[in-house]
Amino acid sequence: MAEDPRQIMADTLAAVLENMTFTFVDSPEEEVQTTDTEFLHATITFDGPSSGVLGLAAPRGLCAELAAGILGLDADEPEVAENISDILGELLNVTCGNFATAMFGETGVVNQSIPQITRLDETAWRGLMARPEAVKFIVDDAPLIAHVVMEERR
Amino acid sequence: MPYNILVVDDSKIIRAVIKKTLGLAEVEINELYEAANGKEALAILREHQVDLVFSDIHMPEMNGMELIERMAADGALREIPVIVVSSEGSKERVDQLMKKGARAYIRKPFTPELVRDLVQDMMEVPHG
Repeated sequence: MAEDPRQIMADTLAAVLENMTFTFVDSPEEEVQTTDTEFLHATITFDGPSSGVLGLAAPRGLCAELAAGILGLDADEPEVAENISDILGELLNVTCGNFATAMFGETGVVNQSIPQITRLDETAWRGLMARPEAVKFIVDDAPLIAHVVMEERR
Repeated sequence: MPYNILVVDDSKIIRAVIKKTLGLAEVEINELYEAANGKEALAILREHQVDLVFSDIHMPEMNGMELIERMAADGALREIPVIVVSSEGSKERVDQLMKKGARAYIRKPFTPELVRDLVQDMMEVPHG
């Protein structure tokens, strides 16, 4: 494969975050610390000319801030809490669609699954952060991790 | 002239993003209606005068494709332009949607400038 999937995913995600959440993203030079103890992790699978898995993880507090910004509410309002999982899932869904087009072009159909959201504790978050395929971002002074794994075609 | 716009998406977050982008695009809005699927959208379309529809494709109960088909089959609704909003970039899927009666397609994420130009195109060009 000529293009690096991690780079394509990183570029795609940055554009998605900026245009959907109206925030700017940066790439950290050092590990970004967070006081959050609860994290959310969204994953989505895609199947087209190649298949694979994309993922996105962030502290719950950042998810709340992003949802609140979009909904025009304060982060502690109940309506924001109801949409915290949705924000991460939608960001991943849009990223996956654009990633697939950037990777495979516009001629074929790429099917993608519904994003699955799980909670992570601090240990699982650190484990994800340490994975070699993890791409790290800073959004609103908080860390956000993305990852992509391409599956080999037999 | 302010428009009555219907936004159809099962995600409240995406509906809010579209709403916010329309605001940033300075599109003049009279009423902004929201529906979580095609079924809810049809009920709103039959109850209110709507000038323009933004619709997702994948939704429970009634998806965007069926909504477009139903609108095309209804003499009172077929002239209302539908802009399909999706993250899918497949040319095959876009062609299929346009054949069914969608007037335009935009990919998420989109900029306010793109939305403004598209709304202007949809509302100023007469369609037959």
